[in-house]
Amino acid sequence: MNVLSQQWRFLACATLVIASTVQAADTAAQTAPAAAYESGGDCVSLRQLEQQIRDAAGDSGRRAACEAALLRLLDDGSTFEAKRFACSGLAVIGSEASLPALDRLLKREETVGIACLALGGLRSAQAGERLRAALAETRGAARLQLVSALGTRAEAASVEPLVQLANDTDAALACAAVRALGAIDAREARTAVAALRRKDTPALAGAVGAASLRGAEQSFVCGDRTAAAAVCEELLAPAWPVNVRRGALTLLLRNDGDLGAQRIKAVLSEKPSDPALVAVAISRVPALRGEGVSKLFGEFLPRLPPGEQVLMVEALAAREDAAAQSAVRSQTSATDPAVRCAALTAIGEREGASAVDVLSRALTSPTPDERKVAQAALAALKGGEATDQAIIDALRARTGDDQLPLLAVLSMRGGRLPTAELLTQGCASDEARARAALQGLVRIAGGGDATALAVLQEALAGGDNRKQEIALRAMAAWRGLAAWDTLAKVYVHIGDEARRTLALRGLVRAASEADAAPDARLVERYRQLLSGARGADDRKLILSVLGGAAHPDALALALPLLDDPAVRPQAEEAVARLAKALATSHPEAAQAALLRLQRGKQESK
Amino acid sequence: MTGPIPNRMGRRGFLRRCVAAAAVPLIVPGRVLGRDGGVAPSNRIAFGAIGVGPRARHILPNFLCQPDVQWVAVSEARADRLASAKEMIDAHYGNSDCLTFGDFRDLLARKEIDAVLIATGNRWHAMASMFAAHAGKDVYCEKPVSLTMREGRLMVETCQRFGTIYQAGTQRRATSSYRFAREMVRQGRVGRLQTVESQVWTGATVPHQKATPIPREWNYDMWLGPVQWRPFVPGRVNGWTCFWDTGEGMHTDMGTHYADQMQWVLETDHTGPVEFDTADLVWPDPAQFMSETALSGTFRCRYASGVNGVIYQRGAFKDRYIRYIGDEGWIQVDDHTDAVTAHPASILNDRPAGGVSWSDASGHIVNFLKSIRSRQPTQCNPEVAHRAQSIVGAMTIAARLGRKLKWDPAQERFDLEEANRMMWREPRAPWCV
Repeated sequence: MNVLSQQWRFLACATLVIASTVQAADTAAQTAPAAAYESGGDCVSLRQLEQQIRDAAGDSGRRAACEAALLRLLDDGSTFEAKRFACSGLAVIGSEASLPALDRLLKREETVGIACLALGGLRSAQAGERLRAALAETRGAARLQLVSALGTRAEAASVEPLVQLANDTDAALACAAVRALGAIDAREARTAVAALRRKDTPALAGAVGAASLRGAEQSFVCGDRTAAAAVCEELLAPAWPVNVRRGALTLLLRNDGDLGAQRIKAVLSEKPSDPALVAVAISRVPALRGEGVSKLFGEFLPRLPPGEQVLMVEALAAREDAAAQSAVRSQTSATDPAVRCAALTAIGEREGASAVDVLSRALTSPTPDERKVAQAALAALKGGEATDQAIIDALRARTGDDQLPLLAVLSMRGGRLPTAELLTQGCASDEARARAALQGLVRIAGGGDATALAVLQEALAGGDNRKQEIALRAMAAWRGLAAWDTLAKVYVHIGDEARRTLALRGLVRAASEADAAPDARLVERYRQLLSGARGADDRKLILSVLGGAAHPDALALALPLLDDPAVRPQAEEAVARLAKALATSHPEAAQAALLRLQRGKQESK
Repeated sequence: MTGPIPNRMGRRGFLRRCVAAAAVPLIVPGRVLGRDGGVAPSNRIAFGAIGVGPRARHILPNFLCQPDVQWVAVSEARADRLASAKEMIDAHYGNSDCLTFGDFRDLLARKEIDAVLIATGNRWHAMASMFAAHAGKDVYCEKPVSLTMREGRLMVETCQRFGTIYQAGTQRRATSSYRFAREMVRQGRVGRLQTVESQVWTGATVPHQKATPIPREWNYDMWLGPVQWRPFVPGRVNGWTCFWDTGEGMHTDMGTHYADQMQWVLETDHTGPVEFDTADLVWPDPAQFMSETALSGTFRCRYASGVNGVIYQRGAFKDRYIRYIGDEGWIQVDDHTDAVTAHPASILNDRPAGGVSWSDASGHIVNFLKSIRSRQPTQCNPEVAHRAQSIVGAMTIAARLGRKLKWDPAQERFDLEEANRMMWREPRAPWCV
């Protein structure tokens, strides 16, 4: 090699050394503020490091430099908060290069947690070894943290130390060790947990139960069904907590070849039964396959206590096959009212016209709750107008007070046929029936049903005087503005003053509901009302709600009425309300209105 | 349109489905709940609360009004809140029987308690749920149901392991306006669904503040719980939603509701999107603020079906909404007013009047109570809740890494190792189970 190339080499090396020294110095300078961070100081340097982490993601070259910067924050001279920040970053990009620095932190109680935070994302055998090694050098809360971290990692190499700790006199530590063992998917871990079951230490029961369930899950997954089922059968014993028993049964049912049909039968047949397990067993009935299943469990119904019968009725109803339907219907004549109610509700949720008879019979139950449930079930029936007609037929087949519950059902269902029937019934000579029918129509009005409105509009335009009146009363109670135009025609054109007043009341009520979101269209409606007013009483009624329409045009509409002595007090109140509501959005208009009010009051004095 | 379109049921059919069955509680003997000792005197489901801050106080009345619920205990890390909650419950029952616990583990040890309401800060939701499941209690847990995606999966596994009945507090599934919007989308009334767009409000900032001594009435160790130790800083504690290890920001906190709605409408409750990214993120100025979460931005996801999800973080609290956009129209629910708007507007003709708003969680709670008795899954069971939470959790990771991420919903893994590592934060002992 000639002297010249040797000199170039030396120069190149020197340059590299100087560059890396400068870079190190630069990076050290950059991390110095971060190393000193404490709450209260600015976190510009922390955000810069976070940007480096972002840039380093997926880039191994940048990652090393970023990691090095974060590791500098773990030096003894850094603040706790700086170390904590660094560990959060190392959790994302840390590598085995961070292990020596984190090792130091693992052995100190005040930093073991943040060190575990850093190691949480590092799936490295060495990281696990460092955690296990630190166990020997820590006590108390620090050791607990390490055990928890080992449970997260769930490495087979942790089994031995965890087994030792599971026998520790510190109950919290022992429980944590047992839970950690449960997380490890290894035969040795499951064997250790089995030994703990046999040891039967009360303080560890919960943790051992949980770990045992996890072990059984792992066994099922790896195909060792015999071992898994054996563990679950153990855990069904009454001595285990109820949630462990539930978990064991659920695991068995889920893994049974027939989805648990035979096992459910066995649970229901057990004497004495385990009520917690019975509920879990019944909850699986909807998912079982085959129509024979519904028949089988339908036959179980009478043998169960009432509370469990209720659950079985619901479970069978969810199956929706003919046998299930038959079993559910049979329970409408059960001796226990809760069971009957469950059956009625289930029928209402799932059936249609064919269920009207059985539900209607329940309307005559001596139990008020049952009658209420039957009504709700009839209201909920599927089947559209076919069901409506079936209910109407049932209504017409009854007389007197027996009709009243079905009138209420029609009002709950709404729609074309029920509305038409209620109109007819509203003309009945029987006062109770007529009143119930009108109440039903008012209820439908509260729901804003468009098809019902069409029926009412047709009746209003028809030749039957009584129906016209009833239809108008219902529309006057209409929720929303859908009935506005019809009512407005009555208000403006019809000579019958009683009907006109009824229409106005309905229009005013509808307008007041719309006051919550006033717009120019609503104000136009108020303008129409005022222009159609035939006296002070009309204007007073309109002003009583106009004040709630917080819109500048509404204010402009109200102001001239201050000059009308017949309605002045109502106009003053409306203007005052509007001015207050518009003070922020329309200050000038509001202020002018208030001044006019004040002037008016002074003049009247 | 993803999934089959059901037969058009029309307004009356929808109304019928919305009509609650008569509110006659199904009284089930305590023996069915597995309590030792046979039938409970009142046959009610006994509840305890873990965390009784503002959210718990808001939702408690929905529980207390249920005839088959008996509230027997509360636990809380702050003594002032504990006393106030006891007062509220005692006043409801007209006695002084409500038990109080500074340590929720003592509450969970009570045999007479069947179920718990978990309304702590977000950092505790998953872990407390797992503690409760280990103790044999059923769980109603406020959202977001976890802070990291892996702890969410662990929570699901734990509940499955013990047969725990669990309801996430994503009560909008029981809300009339949201149910109606879903029904209209499922019926194809907006055409083929293309985008689910939602908006949550602008994030807050927390100025720098020094650590202070822990107030006497705080059990800060318990408050912090599974979060690795950090000094007590009032701004960090009171503004916990603005920090990654305690809250993860509003796109998570409120966004989880919208993610849940999106999953529900798309019928993807057991899977999720396949891609996540973010845009236009505005972060707090580190010179002024110690808070970490975004102030505003766009969080996006895409499903394998091609449907896009977008959460905008912008605007005011009252401006939040969710909008389902199809190729023939859209339908929107304004969360603040519960108003539903749509194009074409004729869609709204089928909307029944009345019904409960989201602030009334009683329907959601009744679903939970029914499941406690029947042991059937709730409508917002752990898997459903976890999948929804995973969406906003993945958005958070995409935001923090500043890049687009591909996600395998079956394996629950990203295509970037750093992202996978961000799915977990090692919890602090002893607050882990």
